[in-house]
Amino acid sequence: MKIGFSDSQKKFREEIREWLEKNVPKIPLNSFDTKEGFEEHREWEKKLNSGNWSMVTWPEQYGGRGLNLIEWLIFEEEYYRAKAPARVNQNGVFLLGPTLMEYGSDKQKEKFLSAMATGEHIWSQGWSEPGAGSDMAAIRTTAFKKGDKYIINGQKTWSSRAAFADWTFGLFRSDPESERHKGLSFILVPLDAEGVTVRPIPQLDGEPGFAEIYFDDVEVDVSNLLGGEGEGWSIAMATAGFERGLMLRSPARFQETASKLLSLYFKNKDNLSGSIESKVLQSWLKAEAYALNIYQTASKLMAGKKIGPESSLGKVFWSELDHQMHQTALDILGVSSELEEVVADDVASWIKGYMFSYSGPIYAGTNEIQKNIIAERLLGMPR
Amino acid sequence: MNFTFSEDQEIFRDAFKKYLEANVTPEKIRSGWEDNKPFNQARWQELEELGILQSNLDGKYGGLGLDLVTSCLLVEEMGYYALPEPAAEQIFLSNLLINKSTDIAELIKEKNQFIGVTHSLSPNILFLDNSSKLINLGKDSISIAHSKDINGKKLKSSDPSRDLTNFTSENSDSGLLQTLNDQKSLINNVVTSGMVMSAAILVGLSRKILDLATAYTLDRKQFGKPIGSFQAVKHMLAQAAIEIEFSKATLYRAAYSLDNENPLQKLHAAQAKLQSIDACEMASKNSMQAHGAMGYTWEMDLHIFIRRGWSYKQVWGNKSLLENYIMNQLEKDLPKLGSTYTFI
Ligand SMILES: Cc1cc2nc3c(=O)[nH]c(=O)nc-3n(C[C@H](O)[C@H](O)[C@H](O)COP(=O)(O)OP(=O)(O)OC[C@H]3O[C@@H](n4cnc5c(N)ncnc54)[C@H](O)[C@@H]3O)c2cc1C
Repeated sequence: MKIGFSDSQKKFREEIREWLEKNVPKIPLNSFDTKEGFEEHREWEKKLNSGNWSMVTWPEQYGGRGLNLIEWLIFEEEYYRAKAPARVNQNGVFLLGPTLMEYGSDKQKEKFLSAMATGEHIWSQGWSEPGAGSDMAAIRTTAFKKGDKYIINGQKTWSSRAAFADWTFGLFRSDPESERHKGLSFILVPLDAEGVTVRPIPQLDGEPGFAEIYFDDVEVDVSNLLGGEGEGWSIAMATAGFERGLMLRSPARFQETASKLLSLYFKNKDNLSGSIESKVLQSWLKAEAYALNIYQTASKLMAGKKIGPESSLGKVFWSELDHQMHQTALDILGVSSELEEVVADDVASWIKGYMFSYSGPIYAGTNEIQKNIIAERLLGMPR
Repeated sequence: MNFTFSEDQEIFRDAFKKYLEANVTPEKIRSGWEDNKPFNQARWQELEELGILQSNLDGKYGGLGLDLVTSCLLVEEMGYYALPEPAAEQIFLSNLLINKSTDIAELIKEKNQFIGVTHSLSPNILFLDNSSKLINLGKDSISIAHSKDINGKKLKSSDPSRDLTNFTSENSDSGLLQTLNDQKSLINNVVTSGMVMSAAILVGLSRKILDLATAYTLDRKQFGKPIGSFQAVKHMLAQAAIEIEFSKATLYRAAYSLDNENPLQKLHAAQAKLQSIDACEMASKNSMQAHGAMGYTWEMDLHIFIRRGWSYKQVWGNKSLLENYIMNQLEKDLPKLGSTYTFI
């Protein structure tokens, strides 16, 4: 055990800090759940990529820096410290990217990875359907092979950022005779293809953060199949693992929220009760505990160990923590917390974050599903 | 940055675990309770032969000189098996004092005997009759006394594995060997170490308590199925597993900081202890619930472990003290909070 950063890691931290200080827009971008904001964020992805910062863990040949997970965590810490724009292509760079590198053909890697890194292709993910939420194996949208095409019919829903995205990746039933987890294929679909209708769905904040996607005899080339036909489920599980675990939920996000909460608390301390103090303290403790756990997990992965159902532990932990932190902030802000325009004390961003924190226990597999996984696969309790 | 354990650390831990599995069983613990002799002298001897007692003692004092992360792993297992003998205290308290102070090392030459340590955070004397000396940590002085000359009233702990004696102003002077002054920083160091020690025990206990519950829920049937198949039961235990998972890395970092004298070692130790207190409470309450009335009996082994948690939550820093300490620290360090300061 050796806890601490190497000199080259410290240098790397300085390098990214300097770059971000120079390049992070001084005025925050519009929300990426609006058309205008989406394009601003696409530009930002392009800018990130111009400095090879798009995804530092990717190999150099795809525009990355070939860095390890610890360095990725450092990158994230600096990114959140700099209050850099949210990653509009997170489903691409953090989820599909690593999946493509593991399961994709060379041709697919060539076609998709650099376009992803530059923000030319912004990705959404299409797992959920009206009848297939927690029970993802109930997917009914079909993709049947005809010659060198897949013909897609059906409907996906809750697809984040699909309102403005260019592509979606998802699971489709390619074997008409199949049931449940079998006969599903992982297919990449351009959202401008003929027969695709995207219907944006406003979220709690009123903006179209996700969308329904209708497929009506949509033809996609067979070369858009990732991995083998019928192997979609296991590939999707790998992708979902990236999401729950380390890639998408870096601790920096929660640590920055926790320290913002502490500042807010100390500023208003004299008027606050003991229960607020204790929640503020809990928030900081848990954000730190989460960070330490992720550093340990990253070390384990680097030492060649695998993480499986363990990622469910973290999913429940960070999503409950995120809600607790935002709720506490609103309790401190009191009556002004309902006023979305208030700039002082960052009220607007606390409210927005608070709304979003309600979704954490739902998306990426609900916390009830995660607890089932923990009980059955980690604790060995019967199904 | 490498947050994993070395092969040596894991091998030592696993070997010790094997010993504990065979030699520290609930039956043996109960037989110590029944004889009113929770401290088993023969087992203490074995712990010495295995190198456990002197594992972190400096080589110049005949120890193995191992680091405190290794110690932490060993103590976690002592928690897991509810080892009654105070080997954790020997390692994290008295060995540390000997390693850090030549004055104390001079006064404590006897090998392999238990040396008690008291402080306002753990004021009652543990296993007085089984110790050769007692080190009392005051506000800034440290006094060392012969145990045999101390007469105190026995106290009854809710954990029969803990033999306690009242430490009062009347007996605090008896058998006094020497008092060392100006010891503030060393005392602070031992208190920090006590926090890490008690946190490690709590993490080990929590793991065991959860293991007992999952095993029980596979076995016990109601409504024609194992109760572990009911989702309400699963989720209770899953929640405990989450709390335990997120106390571990915090604990190992605290042990590492203690070992490396990180300027923030006390903060790290306090964090670890708080996380472990919550984990142990969650594990205890939910595991008891999963056992039903059976868990609420003297006969079932569950309480052997739960009781130990009740004590270790309170000694060497309890919730209230730790929370106050951390909050003050955070207020002072406000500009240095946030993700870029996790490791400094
Ligand atoms: C902000 C947000 C973004 C999202 N983005 C995407 C996206 O980009 N792509 C995508 O495909 N999907 C996305 N989703 C959808 C998300 O994956 C689903 O909402 C989630 O899987 C739950 O499915 P559901 O909404 O149908 O809820 P249901 O499955 O209907 O669940 C409702 C409730 O029942 C509980 N429940 C269901 N089954 C069980 C069970 N077996 N045991 C115990 N409790 C159970 C659930 O835990 C939940 O509390 C997003 C959702 C949100 C909120």
